[in-house]
Amino acid sequence: MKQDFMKLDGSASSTESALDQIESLADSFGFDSRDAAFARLLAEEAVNAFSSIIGVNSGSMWVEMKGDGFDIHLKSNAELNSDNRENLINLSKNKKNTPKKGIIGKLASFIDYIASDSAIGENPFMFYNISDESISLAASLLPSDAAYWSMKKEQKKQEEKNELTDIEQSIIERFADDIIVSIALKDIEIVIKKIRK
Amino acid sequence: MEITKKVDGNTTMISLKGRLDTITSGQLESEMKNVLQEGLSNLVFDFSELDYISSSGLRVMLTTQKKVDEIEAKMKITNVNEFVRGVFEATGFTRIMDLS
Repeated sequence: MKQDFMKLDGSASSTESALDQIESLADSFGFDSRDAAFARLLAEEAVNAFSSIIGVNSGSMWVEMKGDGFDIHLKSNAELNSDNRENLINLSKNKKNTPKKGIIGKLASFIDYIASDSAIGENPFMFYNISDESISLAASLLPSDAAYWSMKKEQKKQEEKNELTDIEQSIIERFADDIIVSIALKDIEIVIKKIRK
Repeated sequence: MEITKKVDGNTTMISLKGRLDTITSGQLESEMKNVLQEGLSNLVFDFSELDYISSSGLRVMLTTQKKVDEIEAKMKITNVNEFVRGVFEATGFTRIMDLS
């Protein structure tokens, strides 16, 4: 059974309405209150992860109820840089960009692979030769005290952001039975699978 | 979410009712700002009527714990239900917070 698409626009009301619908659907599907709360939690953390990893608050969400559990789908459209792309793929259990089913999905993922930085990063023929001149140039480019403290401040901010992202990821990893990430150019989809215990 | 505050001597008791999530965590965050500004030596959270917590709620709890540590006060979370305890355990928060 597939639920209608729920639109997320980044507002608290659209998120709350989507989460309420997921919880009531789980309830009507015969989940006990604890499992229905876990369905809500996984959906909320998926929305939070999308927002904190790729900076996107809008998209659509739907749930597919199955005999042994449910899949929460979260879909959005965004241009990802290589860091965001890697962080999002790391959210998946298999640590891979999983192509969507069907020939179109596979083709889109192949084009995405060719267009992404990962194809360049994995080039085995690329070498870097660091000379002594490069090392002394790097030393002369060391930051001043002010820049150093500003960098430390930024680093601390980033560490705090990572700490918070880690909380969301710990919850998803702990309670989801599988997490699939599919990126095909600007199309991003996360599927969180939960099997009813 | 409903937040109730009771002060008894050096102890401040905060009772939460409902859900502590993305939508409601800001409410607790501003309440805790005021509570910590007033000063305290013991902070007790009563979670007996708290049904649900997500990462957004945990963030507020973590920030509060850090501030309580800074002023060398004590913080305790009581009457935690099975679901909420599961979320604390999944994130390793039971190692840094006193839950009973």
